[in-house]
Amino acid sequence: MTVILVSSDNQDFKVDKEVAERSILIKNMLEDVGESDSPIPLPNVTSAVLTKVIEYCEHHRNDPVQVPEETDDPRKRSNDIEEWDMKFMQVDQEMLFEIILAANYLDIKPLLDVGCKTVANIIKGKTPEEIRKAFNIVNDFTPEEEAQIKKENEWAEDR
Amino acid sequence: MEQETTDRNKTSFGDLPPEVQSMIGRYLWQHELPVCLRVCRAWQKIFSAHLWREADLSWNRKEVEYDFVDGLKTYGHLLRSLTVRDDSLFMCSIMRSRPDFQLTSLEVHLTHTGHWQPFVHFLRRGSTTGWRRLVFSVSVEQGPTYHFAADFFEALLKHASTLEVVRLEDECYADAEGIDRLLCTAPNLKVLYVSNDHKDGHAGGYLDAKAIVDSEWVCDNLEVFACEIRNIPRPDITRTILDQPATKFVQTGTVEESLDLQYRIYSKLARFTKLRELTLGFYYIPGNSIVVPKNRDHIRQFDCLAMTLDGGLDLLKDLTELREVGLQDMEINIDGEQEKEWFDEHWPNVAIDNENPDEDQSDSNTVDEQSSDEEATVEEEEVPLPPPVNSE
Repeated sequence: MTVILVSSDNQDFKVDKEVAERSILIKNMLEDVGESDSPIPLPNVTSAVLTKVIEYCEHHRNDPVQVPEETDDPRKRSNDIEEWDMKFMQVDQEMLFEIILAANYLDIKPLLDVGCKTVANIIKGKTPEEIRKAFNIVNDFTPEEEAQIKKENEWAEDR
Repeated sequence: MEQETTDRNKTSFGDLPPEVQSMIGRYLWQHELPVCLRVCRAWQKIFSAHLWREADLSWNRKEVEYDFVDGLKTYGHLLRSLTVRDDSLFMCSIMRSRPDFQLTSLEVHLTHTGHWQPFVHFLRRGSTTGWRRLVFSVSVEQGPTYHFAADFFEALLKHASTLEVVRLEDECYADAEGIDRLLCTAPNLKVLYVSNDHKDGHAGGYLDAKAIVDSEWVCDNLEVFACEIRNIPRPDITRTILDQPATKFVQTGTVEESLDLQYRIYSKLARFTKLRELTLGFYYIPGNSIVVPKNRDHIRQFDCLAMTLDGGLDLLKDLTELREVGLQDMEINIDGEQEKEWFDEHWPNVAIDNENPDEDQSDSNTVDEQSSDEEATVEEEEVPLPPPVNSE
């Protein structure tokens, strides 16, 4: 069985129901409407991003449903991105954030997870200036303010 | 169509919804967060919530502590969990930094006998929302041990409705009445851990069986109960103890009195149906200033539950969640035929710990007879005899 997803720029995507249901949002929508052939509009996702998201869902179509445990420390998992996902995430930064936004909107937890991990890995090991450069952020602190923040938070680095 | 998407501003970190931005912080270790706070004001706001949620100052250099106190002015309202060493001056300055702490968890490592008062003060004032977790671990090399006395419990009991975890660990003395009152007033308590310090004989940190029989304990959700229950007559103990008649060490009372009291204690414990750990006796942890007694009788409990079916052990059969039972240093009889069968039937998944790790393999009764000469010398040294408990 297939369903039709419609991107914000009005492109139709025909995908297996099983693949589409990786998105909890779509899964719930399909449950609500029951058996129906009507296309599902996704006004927040462009065709470029939807192509990527469907690629991800196709690859992970047979994954068991992830039940993250409360006690599971996400920090311990930030390095264990599987190889396919790593390659999948090698996109420009705009696409990376678009994918995260789409994963959040479509409620695809494992994809959101990989997206956040990828951003966290960009942050790791960088100086504030390097982070600003990486994400194109303007520094709105005075040098004094920044020095003060460094001092107040030193305890967390002091090990 | 194409035109529209390319004309938009590029999607950036700032376009992520706040909850997703905040999620990214969860993938960073605490030591990776200070850098993020310095990036820009928006990042300072997002990541300070992660960085300042928990603070462990127990390993830091002293200099850093003052900057930490400075930081509390800006971020103190975010703090939920604090771990510190026992530096009363530091505690005082933390207290003074702001009046509206919303801490729920406090862990203090006490390493020297300092002024206790700042901690009691901190207990009273350090949480506007109510303490949920309090851990005091004591490891004092010299001098007297910490005494969690009536004023400590008075401050503690102000938070009885929110308390979930109370651990008084290692070398401490805790007021018996205070422990009982905690059990009577903290409905959400999940963990009660009060270890007994054997340094001064059997000085404290236990519940008095006779005093608690009529108490109305309310903590039905208790998962860990670790506290000695003492002052039970044990006329069944008749063996020679440390070369002297048992009566010198054993609580006096008739067999009926003993069994009746034990039955009533088991009844109290039986209502903790969610219990995972039941510890009534502890490992002997030698401090630095003490000679380890070769004979465990120096530190044995002779006034504890006997853990026999005669006394009412069967009342504990409904504790089906139980996985760990600690019966260290207790004069008990769980090797009886009946008891063995009972344990196999009712607690098949329970790890019962009643062997002291560095004790000889041989039975303690026979060790008594054989090595009494050796012990006599130990006895004359620094190890005090356990005073009879009712001298309290």
